[in-house]
Amino acid sequence: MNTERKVLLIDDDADLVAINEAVFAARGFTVDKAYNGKVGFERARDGKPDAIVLDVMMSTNSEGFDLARRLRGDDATRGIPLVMVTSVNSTVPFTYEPDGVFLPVDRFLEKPVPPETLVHEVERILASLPGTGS
Amino acid sequence: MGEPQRILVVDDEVGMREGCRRILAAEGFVVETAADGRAALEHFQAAGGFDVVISDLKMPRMGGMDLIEALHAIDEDALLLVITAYATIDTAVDATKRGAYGYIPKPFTPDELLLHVRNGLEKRALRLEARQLREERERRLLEVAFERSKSTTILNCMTDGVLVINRHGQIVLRNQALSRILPDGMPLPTPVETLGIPELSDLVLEVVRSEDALIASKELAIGPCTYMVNAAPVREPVGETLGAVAVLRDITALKKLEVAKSMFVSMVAHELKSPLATIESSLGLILSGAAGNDAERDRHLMNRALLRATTLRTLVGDLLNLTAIETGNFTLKRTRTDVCRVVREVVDGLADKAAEKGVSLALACDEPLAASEILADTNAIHSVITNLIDNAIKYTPKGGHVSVRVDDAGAYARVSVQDDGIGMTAAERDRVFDEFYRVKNEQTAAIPGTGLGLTLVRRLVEMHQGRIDVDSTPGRGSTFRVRLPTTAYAQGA
Repeated sequence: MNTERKVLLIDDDADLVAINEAVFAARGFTVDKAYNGKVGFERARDGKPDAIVLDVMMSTNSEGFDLARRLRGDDATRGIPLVMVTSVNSTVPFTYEPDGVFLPVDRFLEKPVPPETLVHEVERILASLPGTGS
Repeated sequence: MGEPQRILVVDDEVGMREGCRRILAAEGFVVETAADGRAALEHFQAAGGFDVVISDLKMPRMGGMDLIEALHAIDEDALLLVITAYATIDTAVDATKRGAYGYIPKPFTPDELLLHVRNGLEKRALRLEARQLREERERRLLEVAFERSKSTTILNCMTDGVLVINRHGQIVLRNQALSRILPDGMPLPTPVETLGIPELSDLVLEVVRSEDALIASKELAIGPCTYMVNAAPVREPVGETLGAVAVLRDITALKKLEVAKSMFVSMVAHELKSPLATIESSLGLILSGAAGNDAERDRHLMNRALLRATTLRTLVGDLLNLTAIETGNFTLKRTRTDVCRVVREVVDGLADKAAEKGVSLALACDEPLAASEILADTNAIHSVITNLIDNAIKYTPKGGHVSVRVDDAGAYARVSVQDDGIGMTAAERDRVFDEFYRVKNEQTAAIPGTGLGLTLVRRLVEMHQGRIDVDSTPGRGSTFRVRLPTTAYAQGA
């Protein structure tokens, strides 16, 4: 097991972050946390996580989308796998292409996501990457 | 036979008058006589007309020729038979030109007289019948015109647009409301397609062509508005379709309401789902042991779950109250309420919570306060003050201060709740009373709330004819001020 794995959890629900943190930590992950897009981007750039779990709706309905695009547009964060969790309802018209541009995230999961499922998805993505997980 | 027919005999020779009377009376006619034209005219008017007037031509005062004209001025259908001793073709022609229906040269036999009179009576009957028909037709025309203008007026007073098309798909009628919806100056009839709304023309044409009395409905967006279109066939009693009538009702406001409603339901669902998911995950995590055993962490998770559950219950309570207010089922039970006392109670009740968090909570109540007593629902005011002070404690970090003050502000009792907490930006402050709006940033992430508390506060304050406003600076704190009309003011003194 790779004990160097680090995951960044970005969600404005502190309780949800705390729960996921516990499960990721139990699976041997180092966990970093952010409660908004701005801090999330800084942690992603400076902390070099192996994967990011990102909520779509934070202070605005598209904060998660905006952050995802920003992460994909930055050389320092472009290669980090992104798992996006969404609360799909009519106030957040869910779309893979919020402005007609395909959003390159690695996985979409609909809330509520059982923490074990989330960890499992992140582990699967990391395992499939060439040159990691050895 | 109905009533006996009435004949007026006019002659200046009494022998002639009486001779005629005898002949006619023997046949069952009612006969009256006059000695000259003027007397005949007076008689005619007084008696309300005669079926036939038999008149000599040469008489004193007024002759037969003048009598014809005078009679026709009174009754254009009056029938006059001329008897004359000067029987020449000229006088006969002259008399008929002037309107007599015939003439008899003197001397004449009783049979000749009766023949001419019966001719006249037949003519009279025909004329009366014609007149009746004419009058009836005129009355009907008037009725139709009146009905038509009545229908037109009603149609034009309707707020719904009305469109009638014939079986050829041409518009034959539209009311004023329709002209407002679809401005189109085309003279009628015009093909329905000229309206330029294919969905509308397709709908009405489908109805016209349908065999089985189809009634079609459709929602149609025209410009910024939405219309409900109901189209039905116009049929003859025997069943043949003559065309279709479409009624366009503006349902824009209804649609907006519908959208607002589903938005609201969706937001409520979201607000319920998130904390429930957190509670579910926390309990699941602890019970499954998936993240190992960490007593302290588990205790923290359980405390958070409990807090979220409490928040959920508050949310449901707030929702019920808000719904009650919206539906008018929330009635204020106004009694004399001492604002100072209510505020003191709330402050006392929240003292432990503030102390636990390390926030100081101070109350300044200028007593005796002239305006302290208001006419209000004590529970509602309690809820308002609780919400405001609880918020102040929640959004003020450890070591901060919350001060509550009650004072006079003209006709109002004013309650100010001031904190030196995290504060809000102008944009956040503008939305803070909106349903489900919560300021979201790193500092507020762990603070539970429903986003309905301040919405409820404002509604309750407004129900008391009060006002609420807020000043706030990020990093410096917020001040909420509630003004409630005093008893004196509320009574209109």
